[in-house]
Amino acid sequence: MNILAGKKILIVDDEELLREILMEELGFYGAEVTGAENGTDAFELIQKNKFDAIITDVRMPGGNGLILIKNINEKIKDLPKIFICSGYNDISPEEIKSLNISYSFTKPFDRQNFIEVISQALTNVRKINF
Amino acid sequence: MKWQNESFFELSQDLLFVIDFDNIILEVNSACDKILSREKEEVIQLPVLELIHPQDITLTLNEFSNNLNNGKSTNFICRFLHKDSSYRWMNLNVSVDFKNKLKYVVARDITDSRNAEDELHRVFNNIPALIGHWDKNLINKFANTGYADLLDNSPENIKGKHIKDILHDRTYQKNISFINRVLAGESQVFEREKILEDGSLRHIFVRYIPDIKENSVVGFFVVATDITVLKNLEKERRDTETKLIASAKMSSLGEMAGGIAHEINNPLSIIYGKTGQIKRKLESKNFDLSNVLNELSKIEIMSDRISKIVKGLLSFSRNSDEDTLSPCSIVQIIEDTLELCSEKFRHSGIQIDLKFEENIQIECRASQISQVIMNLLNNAYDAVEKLDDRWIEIKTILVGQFLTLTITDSGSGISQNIQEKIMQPFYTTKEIGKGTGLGLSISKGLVEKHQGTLVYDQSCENTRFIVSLPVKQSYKEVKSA
Repeated sequence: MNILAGKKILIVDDEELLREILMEELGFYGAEVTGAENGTDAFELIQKNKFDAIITDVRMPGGNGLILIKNINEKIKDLPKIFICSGYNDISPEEIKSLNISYSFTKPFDRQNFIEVISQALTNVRKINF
Repeated sequence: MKWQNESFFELSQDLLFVIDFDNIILEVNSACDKILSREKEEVIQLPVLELIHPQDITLTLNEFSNNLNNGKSTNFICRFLHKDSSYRWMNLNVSVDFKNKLKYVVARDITDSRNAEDELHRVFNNIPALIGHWDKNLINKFANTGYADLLDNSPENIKGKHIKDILHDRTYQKNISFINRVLAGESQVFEREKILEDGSLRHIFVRYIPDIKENSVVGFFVVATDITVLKNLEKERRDTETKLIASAKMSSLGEMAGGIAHEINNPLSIIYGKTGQIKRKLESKNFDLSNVLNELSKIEIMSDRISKIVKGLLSFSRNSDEDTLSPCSIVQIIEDTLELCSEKFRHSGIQIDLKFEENIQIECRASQISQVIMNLLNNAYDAVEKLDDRWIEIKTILVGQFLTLTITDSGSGISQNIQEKIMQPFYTTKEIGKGTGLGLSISKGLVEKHQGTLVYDQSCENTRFIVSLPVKQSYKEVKSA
């Protein structure tokens, strides 16, 4: 069950309950999860801590997700895995590639697929018994 | 004074002749030459009927025999044959001398006045209006062919008849109040529909105008016009307008669609996520009941949020043209509208300030007012989206019997040369594909349908639109005063 044990993951979403769900979900699989409600706060945390993965919403007041990802790409040496999780269709496959985004989840998304994608990206384990 | 019968006879301007009881002309005066270009000798001993228009012979014979039967003089009009084969209209006065078995005829040439009258009839019958004249006893004095057609009758048949015998019973019942009022001296205006034999529908605009002689009503005139073409044009215009409003509404909804998807997606994602996690907890049989209940109530809150959005969408999109105006809370309308777009504003970091000084009910079609607010908010969004300082203020104030709703955004106003054009249909400053250019013109139309006004506030240093709506629709005269 502790498939994500030891993995440090940052969730960035302005919707508190969504943050809560993702944190609980990842926590359930053993990850060490931190939350931030906007891009600015998130970037501060990233500068101070090392994360294995960042999962961020795109449109948020007080710090847009794409700007956050650009900042991470430009300023963070040890690049974490980056995932976006958005209700909008506002990012092109080219952008996903150029911004080093591992996967783009579209809300509302499937929990099982979510964990599978994250864990494969972080641990190379694909098969999970739910 | 000495005078002679013979000169009197000869010099008369009227045609005078004497006939016997077999209608043979015995004597004629010199007017015969003047009026009919016929010499005396030519006419004397001729049966008078030979000089009369074939269509008038029966009438003439009837009048002659009446005259013999009752001994009184008769008066009638018939046509006499001129030498040049034309006919002259003559007014005949016939007296009988039983003693000498003679008839004395005085015939006056009325051709000129008769032609003038015919010409007048021709004009009246050919102008595209339906014209009638009734006296105060409701006896017809005149009807042109158009009016007679409307009454399914002929001018000759209507003349002299009572209105009750001419109008269809139902029409008479419908018109009686107009008739009474026009006879009281008040002009009347109303509309009627008539179905023609071919099944087509005609719209007739009718005016009753009192016929006033020496300060009293002696009858009334009817002037009616076929306004079917006008009506059809008006209907076409209305239909186009309705379609335009509907399509502009849908397009402003389209502009919002992405935002609305997001509005629904977030609570839906939460419901999905929470449901899965609660299931997992329940299956593990290791859970805290109060924690589960707390999680369930979060699902409830999210479901409520979605249902509000759906409600907002429904009330926004409904075609309310036929709705009656009913009292609605202005705050409720604003909140319902915001349900559809608040997320979009929040995500773009646009602050929305609500200043509801008065929460009052106004008589309106809520979905139309919602459409106006949505249009103004859409414009405000596009104006401030890329600014550093991004806010929109929605404010309501009660001014007398009017509710004033202002929507102000952090933009720096609209330049003078653009101000003049913003209310025009299809005028837009937005990029191609983004705006229809109909939002403001339709909003203005919708507000005006509520007897209100929508104006741009020139005195504000930011961009402000002011919507003013009467609290009750009956206050409209206060505004126009």
